[in-house]
Amino acid sequence: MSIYQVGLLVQVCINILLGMSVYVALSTRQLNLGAAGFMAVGAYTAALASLAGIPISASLFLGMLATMVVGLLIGLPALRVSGIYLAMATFAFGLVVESIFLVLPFAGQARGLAGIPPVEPIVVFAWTAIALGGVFLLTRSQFWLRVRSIHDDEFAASMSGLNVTTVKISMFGLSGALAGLAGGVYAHWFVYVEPSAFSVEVSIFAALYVIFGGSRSFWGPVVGATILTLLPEYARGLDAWRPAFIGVVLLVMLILRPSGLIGRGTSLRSLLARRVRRSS
Amino acid sequence: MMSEKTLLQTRDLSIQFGGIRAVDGVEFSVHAGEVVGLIGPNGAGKTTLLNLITGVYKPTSGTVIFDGRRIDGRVPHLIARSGIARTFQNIRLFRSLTVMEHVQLALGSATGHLKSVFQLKPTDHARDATVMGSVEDTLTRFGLWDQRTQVASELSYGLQRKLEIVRALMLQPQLLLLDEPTAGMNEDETMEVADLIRLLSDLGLGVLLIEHNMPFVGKTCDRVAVINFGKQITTGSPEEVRRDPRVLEAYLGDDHDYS
Repeated sequence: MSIYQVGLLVQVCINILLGMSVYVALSTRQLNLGAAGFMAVGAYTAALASLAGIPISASLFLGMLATMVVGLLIGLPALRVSGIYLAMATFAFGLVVESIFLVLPFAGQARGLAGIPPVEPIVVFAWTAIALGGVFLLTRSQFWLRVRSIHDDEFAASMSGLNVTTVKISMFGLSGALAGLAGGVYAHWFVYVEPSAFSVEVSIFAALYVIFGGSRSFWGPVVGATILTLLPEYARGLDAWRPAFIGVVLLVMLILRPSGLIGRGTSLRSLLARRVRRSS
Repeated sequence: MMSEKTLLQTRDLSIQFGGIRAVDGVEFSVHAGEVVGLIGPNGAGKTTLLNLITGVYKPTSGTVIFDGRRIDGRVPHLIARSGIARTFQNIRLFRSLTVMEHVQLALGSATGHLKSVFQLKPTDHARDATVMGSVEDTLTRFGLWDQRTQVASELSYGLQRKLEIVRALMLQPQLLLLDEPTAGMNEDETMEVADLIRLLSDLGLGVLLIEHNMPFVGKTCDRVAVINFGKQITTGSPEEVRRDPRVLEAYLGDDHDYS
């Protein structure tokens, strides 16, 4: 594999983690439009840790942990708002984080942090695999049944003896942790971080991965992030028309499959099986 | 089979929304094995009363005592776990969950979240014990066993209403609160539900139900409490209540010719 391809694959990993971050929060009907903010916290924490001489994997873990705590803290007030208002609040959170890193003296301000030790691709793939495996197992657990019930009817869930509050806050913590890992990976892959890398656009794309791929299945954000990361690369020949092309793809997709490429109950296997049957 | 054990007792229960007293000094009790009907015109405060009992609202004044302990002011999910389960006037199922998943969810609701993370979804609950024998017995009795792998949103209307009761039963409650359990059901289904409610009370459950269908109330309820404008008008057997002029007044207005 060429360096270019490996780099692309790392970018796919980062974006899948970001998509997963949005997905787990959205599973309890909490739209997190501040993924970039969480990502920044993870990136800066991991970068500062590595610059202080801590081994990379430990730094990634620290970044994840710190972002999880931030996620839990955001999850608490997030309970008071819902729907579009929560989306706005998390959006604002992303903006605030970006500007905080612009002024924090030990984070390099607008110059950013340079000289971050580089990470081996295999380490990136391993961490992504562990995180995805963890989320996958979670979606197969008894706990996920609670998550789904809260998605369907929060009130009925609490009347069925479930502590809805702790479920929703934990999902925000998990959302933070996943975006934090994406940030840590980003920092050590590009060996340089600056506040503008964690712009609103990153948050919006993270949400798009889920909307495009499907928000009710584990495979939705995986497929969504992969396609939306690779598509622009393969469309390089279109030059200036590329953003328009991506936009059209998104629109067509939303018209043809409004609830995303992969729906509830459509596993990757059943989707492939259908393809095979159709072509035979 | 009504026993002497008082399950639920409200004292001077009131709640005020702005200037309106939606529930005003209501006092009633439900015994184990007893079916109590809660009737009254629309907007009388019946559902609000259920919401007070289940902790959705905190009373402005008064107390709710369940199984010898004060429960007003407790959070809803703990009240549910302590033995009060309910259904809803407008069906509130988990659309994307199957019948069996509703059972799983309610049966396991007291398990800690952390523990539930490490439980990979169990597939078979059929033999777990319930008040009606096993889960399989319960689902069979409610006509839901053959539909156990079906998603709630695909069930017929009547079965959806029944699944709400089943989900409530899976909390292993002592007291069942049913908010218009037969609304929208045809006559056969209504009578089927009446039989099921009688069966549950024979098994020792206390039942408090809101209902408009008077024949249904007459068939199922041991006692009836009548509420209007948040106030309790009267309590008595279905027969007594039906003849009470104050009840007719509440439903029809006071200058109506009843003859």
